[in-house]
Amino acid sequence: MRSTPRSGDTARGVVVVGALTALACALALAETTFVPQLPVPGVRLGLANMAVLLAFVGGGTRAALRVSVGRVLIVGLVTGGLGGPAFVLAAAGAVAAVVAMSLVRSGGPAFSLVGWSAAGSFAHVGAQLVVASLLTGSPSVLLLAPLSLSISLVCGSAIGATAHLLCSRGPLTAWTSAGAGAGGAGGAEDGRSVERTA
Amino acid sequence: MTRSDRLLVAALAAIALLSWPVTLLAGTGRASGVRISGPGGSSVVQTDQTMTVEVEGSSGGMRVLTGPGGARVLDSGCPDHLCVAQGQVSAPGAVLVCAPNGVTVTVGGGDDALDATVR
Repeated sequence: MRSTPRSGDTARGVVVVGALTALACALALAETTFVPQLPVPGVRLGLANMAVLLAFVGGGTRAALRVSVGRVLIVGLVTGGLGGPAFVLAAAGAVAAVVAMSLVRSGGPAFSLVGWSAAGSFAHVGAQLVVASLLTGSPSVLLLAPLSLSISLVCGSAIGATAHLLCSRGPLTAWTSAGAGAGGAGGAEDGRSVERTA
Repeated sequence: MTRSDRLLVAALAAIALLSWPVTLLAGTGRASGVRISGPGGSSVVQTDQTMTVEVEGSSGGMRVLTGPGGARVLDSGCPDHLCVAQGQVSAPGAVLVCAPNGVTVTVGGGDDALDATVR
């Protein structure tokens, strides 16, 4: 892990994780309310993942996991689905996404937020399809895999590119860099070098 | 987007597309009919005539319309109604999923071992 080990335990870390969890919940609820859902089960635009990506940049894997799991719990409470099948699907997807993004992130500066996000989105949908087939007891859910996984790559890349813009151009640069120490600053610098080469 | 990003996305896209032939193979060669699997078990509905099937799911009841043109979910007690939004499916192997209800509807799912048949 490139993040500072105690970043999630400092006062700044707690504030950043809390703020990003609130952002993730707001984005998830806004998406559910205002964005028309794709007629493919398990596939969403994934706006909330933007907050998770910012948590990765600002506080490392531990912060991202806290934001992601916190978001699933709070949205589950708000929508009344806590403990239900939809909650199990969301939790499985969220954890799988953080694990996948953490693995890609460990590949170093070769990967940008777009790569992290695409891998996370892919893992999110993949895990949901597997869990859905277990919940329904029917492997036929996996017939949706090609379409769902392909759409997830498009959505994941788009969300990653948006988070990348937020990190490299917005006022978040100083915030996330200060929150992560060397890791966050490295992420922001990656962003700038990508812009030059793209 | 770095070069590694592009390679990663291309590799993941290849995995997604490679699973296509596998799912097509899994979906061919089925007898006519629509298989409806839910918490209460699995059944096959013959599609020679149009009919509405009531299915009891984990999050409420569902009504599934089946017929020669395939199947679609008319209404459901689930929270998001994604299953209704999926519309009509007709190709062999095509599937409607309602995860909150734990129900799948598969077109052409009639040739494996039957638990029950609804006519």
